[in-house]
Amino acid sequence: MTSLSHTARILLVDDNASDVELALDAFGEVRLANHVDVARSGSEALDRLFGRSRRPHGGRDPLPDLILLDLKMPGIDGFEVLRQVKAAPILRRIPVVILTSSREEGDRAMSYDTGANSYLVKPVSFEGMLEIVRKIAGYWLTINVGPPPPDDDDEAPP
Amino acid sequence: MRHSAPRLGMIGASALAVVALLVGAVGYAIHQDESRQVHATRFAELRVVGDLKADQVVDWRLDRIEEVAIGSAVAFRGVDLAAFVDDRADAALRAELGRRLEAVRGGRSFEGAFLAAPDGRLLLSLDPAVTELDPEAQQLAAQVAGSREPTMGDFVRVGSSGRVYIDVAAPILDASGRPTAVLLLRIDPGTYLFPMLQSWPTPSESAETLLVRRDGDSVLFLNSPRDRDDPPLTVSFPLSRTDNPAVAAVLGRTGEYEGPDYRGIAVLADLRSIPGTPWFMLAEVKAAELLAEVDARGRTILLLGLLVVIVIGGAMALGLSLRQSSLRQRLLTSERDRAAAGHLYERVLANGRDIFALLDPSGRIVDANAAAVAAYGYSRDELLQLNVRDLRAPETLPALEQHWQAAARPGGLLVETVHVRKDGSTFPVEISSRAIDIDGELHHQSFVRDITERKRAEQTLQAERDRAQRYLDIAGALLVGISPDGTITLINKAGCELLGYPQEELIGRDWFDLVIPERERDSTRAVFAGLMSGDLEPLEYFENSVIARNGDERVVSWHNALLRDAAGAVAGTLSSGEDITERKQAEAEILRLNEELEQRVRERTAKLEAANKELETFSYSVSHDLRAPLRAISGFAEILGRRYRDNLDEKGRHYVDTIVTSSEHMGILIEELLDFSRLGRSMVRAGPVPLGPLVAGLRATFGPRIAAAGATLEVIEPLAVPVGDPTLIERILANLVENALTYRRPDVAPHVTLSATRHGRSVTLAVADNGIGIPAEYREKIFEVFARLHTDREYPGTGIGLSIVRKAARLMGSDVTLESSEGVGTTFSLELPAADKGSTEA
Repeated sequence: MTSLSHTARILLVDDNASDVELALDAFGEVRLANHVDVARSGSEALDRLFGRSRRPHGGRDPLPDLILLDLKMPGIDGFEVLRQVKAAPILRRIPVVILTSSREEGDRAMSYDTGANSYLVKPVSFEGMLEIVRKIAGYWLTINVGPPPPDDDDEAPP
Repeated sequence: MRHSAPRLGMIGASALAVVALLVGAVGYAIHQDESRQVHATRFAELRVVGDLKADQVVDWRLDRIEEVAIGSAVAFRGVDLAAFVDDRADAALRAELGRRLEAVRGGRSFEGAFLAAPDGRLLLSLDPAVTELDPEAQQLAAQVAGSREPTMGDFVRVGSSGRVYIDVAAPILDASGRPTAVLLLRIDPGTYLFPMLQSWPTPSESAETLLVRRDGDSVLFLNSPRDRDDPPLTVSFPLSRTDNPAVAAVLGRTGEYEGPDYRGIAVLADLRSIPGTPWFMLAEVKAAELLAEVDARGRTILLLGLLVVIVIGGAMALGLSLRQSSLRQRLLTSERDRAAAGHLYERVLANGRDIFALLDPSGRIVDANAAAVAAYGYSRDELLQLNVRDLRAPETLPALEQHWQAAARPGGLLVETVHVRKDGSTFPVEISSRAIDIDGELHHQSFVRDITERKRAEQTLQAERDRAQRYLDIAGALLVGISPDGTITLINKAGCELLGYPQEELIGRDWFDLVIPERERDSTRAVFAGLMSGDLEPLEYFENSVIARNGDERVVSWHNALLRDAAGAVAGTLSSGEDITERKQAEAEILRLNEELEQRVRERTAKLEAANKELETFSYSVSHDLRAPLRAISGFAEILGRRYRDNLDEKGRHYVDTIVTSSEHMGILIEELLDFSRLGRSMVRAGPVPLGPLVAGLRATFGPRIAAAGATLEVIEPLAVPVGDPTLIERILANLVENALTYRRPDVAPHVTLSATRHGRSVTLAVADNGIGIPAEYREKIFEVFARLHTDREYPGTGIGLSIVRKAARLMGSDVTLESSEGVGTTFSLELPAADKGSTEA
């Protein structure tokens, strides 16, 4: 159960370093109590989400409260990440917000069809980016009541 | 001696009487036998002649019916006969039908030709004097229109002119087999039928053929009796006179008849009915002619008997002066013999219609009758100076020797040749000649009949046959007649040429085995069997292939008509065909070309689609790839301008601000360019678009700008409902309102008017402003992508808005037009189809 007391975890998946830096800057500037993890490719994101990444103390990453997902990435792209997340019982309840520079109808349709919970277009200006980060934090991490944690039955990945 | 002489005489006289009785009895028996033989021979002859004549009448009738059937099936193709039946005022059509009718009539073969409506009303006559058909002809036309079978009518006598005719009629059927009109061909029986009936194949004074029919309660003579001048169809007798061969015939009697005829004269006759007609035929000869022959033979026998008695008596009674007696007796015998023979000749010579000549062994004419004198133009004395050679036409002389020898053989000679008159003119003759022994010398007795009439009739018949064949031959269509067993009974020149066989090699062959390709043989035969059994309608269209002698295969389209015999049974088919091989090939070629064209179009379309796809991929990646660095430029410049502002001097701050605004502008440009290229990539929908919700959306979108500019957006109610794509219409209106708010006059508050008015079946959407207007020379240029008339400072914009409007309008099959005057305002409008009344603003 997500609560206001605990620090919300966000997983940002984007291969573009500038966009990542601007996003992190924007999150920093709005000063909300949250933690942003960054995955710089689709495969890295899946490794983290399915607990396959190596960590110094050997435990698995805690699951994020929200995934911000870019679509166009080399190798495993955003659609594939989305598909696997929504197919995995342990992950499928995590809200996924698409954050992309594409306005294409096809991309929008495909995203929602695959189970995306929201679709945002990256703004050109930093001002716009600040606005979006504020709204994400305000809506998805504050107003929105998130899903319960996965049942024990759902623990094991398929 | 003197006493003994009378006693001897008594005995002799008694013996002589016995001998005379014996001779008389034998003679009578012989006479009776002869008489029976003559009767039997004559009846046999009558029967043969009856068969012959009846066959000729039947053949003649069927030939005529066939001609009218062919004429009706072929001659009126491609003419709008139905139109003529309805309206006979069309002169061109009348002339064309007249030409075709004349072609069917074929010169002198038919006396007249008519087209009648199925109800018997006269449509067209070759003889302008005929304005109406006789009741008989009308009835015949209606009859064939009903039965759809060609037939021959009966003899008709026109009361006013006394002329006699027979009509044959056949229906002209349309494509669905309904009778459109009836073709009537009129025959003058005097040209062929009557001469044919009158000619008698053997020498006879009184033989004749009569055609009769029942007419109510009397019997009507259809042709003229030999020794009467009454015209045809005028002689009739009541059926009550049953002692009459004509009455017996119509009452159903057939075969031999001996008794009085209509004149009360005893005749021998052969009676029969003509199949397929109400007619009966009598072949008859006067009994007197027969009796004369019997009598002549009887007299000869009597004479011979007397001679025997006299000779024996003389021999017994007269012993004295035997020599003188015997001499006198011989003279007497010779004299009487000659007298008897002379009597026979006399009869023939005097009464015979036929020429008679007696020729000596050298061929010299030793006797000739009056008919000979009349026929050759020589006097009798002149004739008796001539040899038979002198009567022969020069070209026939080579055969004379052979004829001469044939006449001497048993059975004699019956031959046709040509004789020449004194004036050098020639005439065809039939010679019946046999050798007789006269005084130990082999004479020839020859009966010669002038057969000019018969020949003319035969030639007429031949000419008609030839004409019919020519008619078949000149017809462009193939004509093939097939009997029920599948053999070819008739084929015209076009048919022979197509198949590559001479006619004689086709007639009698099995049509299906010879010309139908094996793969189609069974199905074609099945169709034929269907026609024969009546399961299939005639005139049914049929297509099949035929194989010519050289192996070429041709496709023929057929129309089939049934032929029926005199009894009405199916006697085969008459099919007219058209070689459609080339047409078929052309059709196949067109199909092939179409297929090729479609294939090419498919290939082109595929290529275009591929190119389009490539372009889309390109624009997608360009937009994506361009926007990422732009975000970096813009984002970092903005951060620089905010967090590090105090570290920059005035100039540095200006540069940073310029980088920010320029990159934002570039972001908009890219966005709009993508918008433009994206237009129409999804399917364009077409449905009624109520404008109310769209306008409400516009008010919401532009509300702040309208308020800030002090502008007004007026909507002219009611808004008509156009048919189009709601997204595209929304884009158009949004861009036009945006334009109107942007290009305002600085000193005048913007006033934008939006309307949708219906004109008939279309709706005009218009957005009008009171802005700066557009100079006339730029009214086309403004629709181009990135085309701008003003600097960004004067009026901000990207130059894509109107391009999007035009593209959206064109995607819906419309276009944008504008009216503008500088300093007053501009109205953009476009026309779209109107939705149905039912789907107005809801």
